[in-house]
Amino acid sequence: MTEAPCEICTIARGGGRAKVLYNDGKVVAFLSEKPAVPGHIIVAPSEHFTIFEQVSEQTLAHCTKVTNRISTSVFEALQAQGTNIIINNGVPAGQEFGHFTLSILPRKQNDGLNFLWPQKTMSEEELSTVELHLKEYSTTMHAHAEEHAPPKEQKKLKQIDKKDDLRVRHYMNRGA
Amino acid sequence: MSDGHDHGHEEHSHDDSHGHDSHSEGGGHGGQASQLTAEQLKNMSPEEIRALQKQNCIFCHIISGRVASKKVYEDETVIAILDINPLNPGHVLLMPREHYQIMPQIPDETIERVFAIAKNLSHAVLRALQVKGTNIFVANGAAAGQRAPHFMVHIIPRKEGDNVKIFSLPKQSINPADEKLIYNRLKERINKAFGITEKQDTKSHSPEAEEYHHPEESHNPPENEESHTSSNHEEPTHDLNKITSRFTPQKKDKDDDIDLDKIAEMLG
Repeated sequence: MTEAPCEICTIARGGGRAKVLYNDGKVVAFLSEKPAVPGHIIVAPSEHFTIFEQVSEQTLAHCTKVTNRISTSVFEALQAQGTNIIINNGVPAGQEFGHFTLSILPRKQNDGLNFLWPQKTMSEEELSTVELHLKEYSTTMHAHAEEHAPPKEQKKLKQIDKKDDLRVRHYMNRGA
Repeated sequence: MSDGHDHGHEEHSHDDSHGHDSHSEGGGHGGQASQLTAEQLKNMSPEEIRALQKQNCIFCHIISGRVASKKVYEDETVIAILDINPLNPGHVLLMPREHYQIMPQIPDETIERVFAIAKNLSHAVLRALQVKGTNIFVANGAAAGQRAPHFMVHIIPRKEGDNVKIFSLPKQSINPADEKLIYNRLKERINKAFGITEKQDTKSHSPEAEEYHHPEESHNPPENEESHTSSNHEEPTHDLNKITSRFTPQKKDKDDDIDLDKIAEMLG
């Protein structure tokens, strides 16, 4: 039985009909064919990973860097007032492709999307229970994180170009 | 944009807190800020603005330990706490210790670390709570649903039938002319951001020829569900609002037939 080739892998290799915005051989970014909002961009690693947890550290780091740069560009290119970065990881979360992807959504006031969800306050007891469960698993995470922590050198703050910062803020405040 | 509730999910209105009320929009509404004039604010350097935000940011207070929270993970760069107003049980807020308002302000090294930890936290959530999915969500800007002044990544556990609909993104059609405009503007800006020159960019062609990368179908026009009658004559608009309003709502497609459950189970 032959399986259909992965649509994302095909796009990453230069095939398919996607409108590719960026491709450096490790990560590909293209316009969604069925966008949630205009300018909906999908970012994916060229290498095939099915779910988030499987993506290698190096690849994820690169994807993140590229996503940040592209989503920053969205403000100026599309006069967006905001951006969302979303990963739908797993079937119950609405994962669309069998290949890990992230979405970048350019946002404007009253564009039809709303992520302001109703709150569901939890009791202290419920919260504590969840806290304990997660903490159990976080000790292994800690050990893992220690191994892979960046070198303990003096971390420089990013030099904020005042113009860029103001420009981004300007776009975000438009129409507010 | 506001719903009936005063306090967003990203705010911590603990009963035992120091009386900190909602700290939604950036810039802070603390006593200090109200003494500054708009003029003064405009003339502040980014660093000074940042320092001011930090003073008024409840999450910075949580990070420093002054305000109580349920921490589930911390290291030198980031901290993760439970959201007291979760979308689902186990809703985690992951944030850098350093105060940043939005992602574009964050240095590569830090944001990479944040997402690396997000991945680990997502894994921890899947195992600890026996769920089969997570949504990883970032909102940059009020228009995107950002309510807290401190940048954060949401890790939200998901299971079948949890009735969370907001991450089921609508699937719209877009007018080809609008799409082309959007594509060109994005491409140009992205090339600039990555320092890609026209010559280096082998994936695009001259503006006159094809704007899209179609190596396998260069002789076939791209398939398109839209009718071509009026689209060619529509004036390209630089107004994203107009483009948004031209969207035709479509009914949602059924979920793809992907058996990820098995794979998720492999993890646990």
